[in-house]
Amino acid sequence: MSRSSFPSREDAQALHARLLAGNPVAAGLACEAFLAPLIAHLRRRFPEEDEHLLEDAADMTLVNYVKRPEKYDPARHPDPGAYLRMDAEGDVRNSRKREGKHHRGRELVELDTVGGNEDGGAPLLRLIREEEREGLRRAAERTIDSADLEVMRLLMAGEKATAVYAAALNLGHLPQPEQEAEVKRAKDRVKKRWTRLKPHG
Amino acid sequence: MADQLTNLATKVEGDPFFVSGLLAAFAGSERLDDAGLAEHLGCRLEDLPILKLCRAPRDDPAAFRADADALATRFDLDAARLIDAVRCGRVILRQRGAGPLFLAARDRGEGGGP
Repeated sequence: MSRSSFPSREDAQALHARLLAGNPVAAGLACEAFLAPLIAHLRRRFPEEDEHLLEDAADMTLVNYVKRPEKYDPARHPDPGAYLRMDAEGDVRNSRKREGKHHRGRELVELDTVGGNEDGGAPLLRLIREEEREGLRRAAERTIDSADLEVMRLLMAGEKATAVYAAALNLGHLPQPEQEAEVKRAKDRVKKRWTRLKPHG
Repeated sequence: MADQLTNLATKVEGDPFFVSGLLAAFAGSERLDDAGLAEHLGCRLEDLPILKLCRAPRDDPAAFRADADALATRFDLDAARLIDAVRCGRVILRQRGAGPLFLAARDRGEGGGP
């Protein structure tokens, strides 16, 4: 089973030696040893970042490592775990930069209508052509879990009430401030997914 | 945590470096879900994602056998069934990749060739 903490330096170095030796089992064992702690590390390091982006970064880092273990230089990073953390953090930053480029130059940037906008509170989604919105909806249904999908539907409908989002996310048992914080996190997460789903222009 | 490994094992199915794609192709041909595949191979279900994330056995016959044995030993598998599954998976994936070439071979056969 996956662990929640990184293996010791000695265990990581032994595993690395097996990877270098071409042991077929080592790749699987490395994934088992590092994946969960790597994802947990990225969550702590980037607490506001989209969960899927963090998992993708951890996945990419590990896959690249087990396929090309010779790229890891023990002289620079005596602990393979530290090397993987650094590499995964770089992947997250690169993904952020790519998404930042997607945001610039887009007509549609902000879906949240808190505080109003130049349309007087109406959803900015009217800027999206109807067929584009339908395509995004179908793409979202393939890749987003049901709770986030419901959040997306509410955003598309222009829903503003936090209580409605809280109900969709089953947050009724939480105190009001926590409901608001969780609703905001869900909206931010969905918006990020929204821009990642949008076809490249 | 197990879901994270399962997700990763699924993601790498298209990567020939890993066993995952080979086992997925075999399981698909036998209509086996993960539980069925684990039972067939004789491994624990919770070990299946880790097995899938191992390196695929090399092509060279001697190396193939050594790699398959290493996997079977580590996960306490039925080695013969693992070897069979990997070989079947390879054939399936090669057939998928061959596509038109496979059809061309048939055409030559219909012309009276061997």
